[in-house]
Amino acid sequence: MTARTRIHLAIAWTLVGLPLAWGVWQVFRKSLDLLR
Amino acid sequence: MEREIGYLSFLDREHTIAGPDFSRWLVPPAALAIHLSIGQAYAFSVFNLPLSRLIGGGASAPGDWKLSTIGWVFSVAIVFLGLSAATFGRWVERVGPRKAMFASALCFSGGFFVAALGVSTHQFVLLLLGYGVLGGIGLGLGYISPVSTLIKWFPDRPGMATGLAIMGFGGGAMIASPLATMLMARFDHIAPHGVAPTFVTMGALYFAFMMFGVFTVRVPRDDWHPEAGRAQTAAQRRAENSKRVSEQRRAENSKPVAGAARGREHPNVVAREHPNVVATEAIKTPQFWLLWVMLCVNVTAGIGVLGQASPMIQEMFPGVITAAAAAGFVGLLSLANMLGRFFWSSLSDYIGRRATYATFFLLGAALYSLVPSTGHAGSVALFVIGYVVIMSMYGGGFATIPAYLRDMFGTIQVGAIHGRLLTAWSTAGVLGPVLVNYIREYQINHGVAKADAYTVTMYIMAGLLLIGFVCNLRVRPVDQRYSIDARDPVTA
Repeated sequence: MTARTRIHLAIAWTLVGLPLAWGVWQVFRKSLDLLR
Repeated sequence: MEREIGYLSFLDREHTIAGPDFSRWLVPPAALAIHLSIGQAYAFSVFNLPLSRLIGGGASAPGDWKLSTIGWVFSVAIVFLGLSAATFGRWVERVGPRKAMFASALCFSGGFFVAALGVSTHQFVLLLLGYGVLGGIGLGLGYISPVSTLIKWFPDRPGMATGLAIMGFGGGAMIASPLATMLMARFDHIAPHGVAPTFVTMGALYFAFMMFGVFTVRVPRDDWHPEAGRAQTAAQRRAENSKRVSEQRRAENSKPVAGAARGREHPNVVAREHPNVVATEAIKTPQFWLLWVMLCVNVTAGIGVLGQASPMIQEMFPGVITAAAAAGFVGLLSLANMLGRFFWSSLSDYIGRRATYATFFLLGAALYSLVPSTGHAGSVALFVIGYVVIMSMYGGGFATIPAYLRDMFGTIQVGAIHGRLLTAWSTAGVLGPVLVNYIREYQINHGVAKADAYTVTMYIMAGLLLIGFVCNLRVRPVDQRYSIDARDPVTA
């Protein structure tokens, strides 16, 4: 795997991973109400 | 016809064939970009209240759209998802993932823009045609576009690969719901409840995000398979080393390279194991309809829980669970739905598709029957855990079906066959809520207590899952006479 492919992979997974992580965090934050 | 516009030729299948440096792990994020976008559909309900108060402002006024009317937008979108996936499946297979993803982005984003016009001019038909019809077609095209490409890139782990993408559809709502709420608050001073500008912004954002998927996706060469890819990488490494050593050493290193080349000549073992059935033949097989019923009952049962989750937990635990905690429970179920898509489909690569679905139906039926009893016993934790497992299997049912189809019908038109199977989802989308609401209403009208009415509904859902279990037991390998290999040895 070339360095360029590795960079492409890092950018691609970050681009989809960040919004997904943000969405999951939003839900998780709301779900904490269930524990209170 | 597909190549008549020269400047769009980058969308053609032949321009998307991966080069030697391409990593197959770039395809899942490309697919996720599409599915995370179109998964927004599940969060459409966040617009329901604002759309019903466009004229009245704080409350609905005469002339405002009713909530029951607005509900049709989502239903029409899901129906058009199934119809477009079934209709355009073969076109998607023919033109390749990039053009299909591009068409999906145009339709899905275009749907937002037309819907924004409908909201601005307060014409419901434009909202319905925009988000429901045009957007729904975008949903169907987007849902199936990466499936067959992922299966071809990951013949060794088709469940995991398609599960990753379809997980995105579950995750899309988690992003879209808070995003839409934030945007509506931001644009509140521009337009009533900020709905129209939010539609325009989301249409533009999703178009840009989907373009990332369009430009990233690639199809493998016809002779590509994972082992060949690894052999080629090793060969390249050896070739680089050989520049630095003597001529004799380089000659020695060339021997394994030749071996690797021989390895590439081997046919794809996975492709040989399954018949190759085209979509028009697949729907003639009993296996297709058994899988159709399995998907339909799994979705119907899951919708039965999702649609009632919030009132159910509040009425099961009166005075214990508040409305905010119930919203948290719904969020937790969405999370389980999303993670279940990845977990169960990945597991199916190891334990097999049949065993995975047998688990869904048996464990599901047991949980549907038992969990209401935990509610009556007053155990919130067991109740929540039970439904979390149920929802993970609901998501798992969606995510594992493409790999099951691959096992049955091969890879040649798996996307098109998957598209046709999604009509089961459309059917369940209409059937599920109607069935659940009717049973519940019937029970309450006949004097059953509200909390007990849920129990009866869950027993009926468990019964549906047992039908799915029997169908799964009856699934056998597809008869070779349906395979194009048996019909046309040259093509094979």
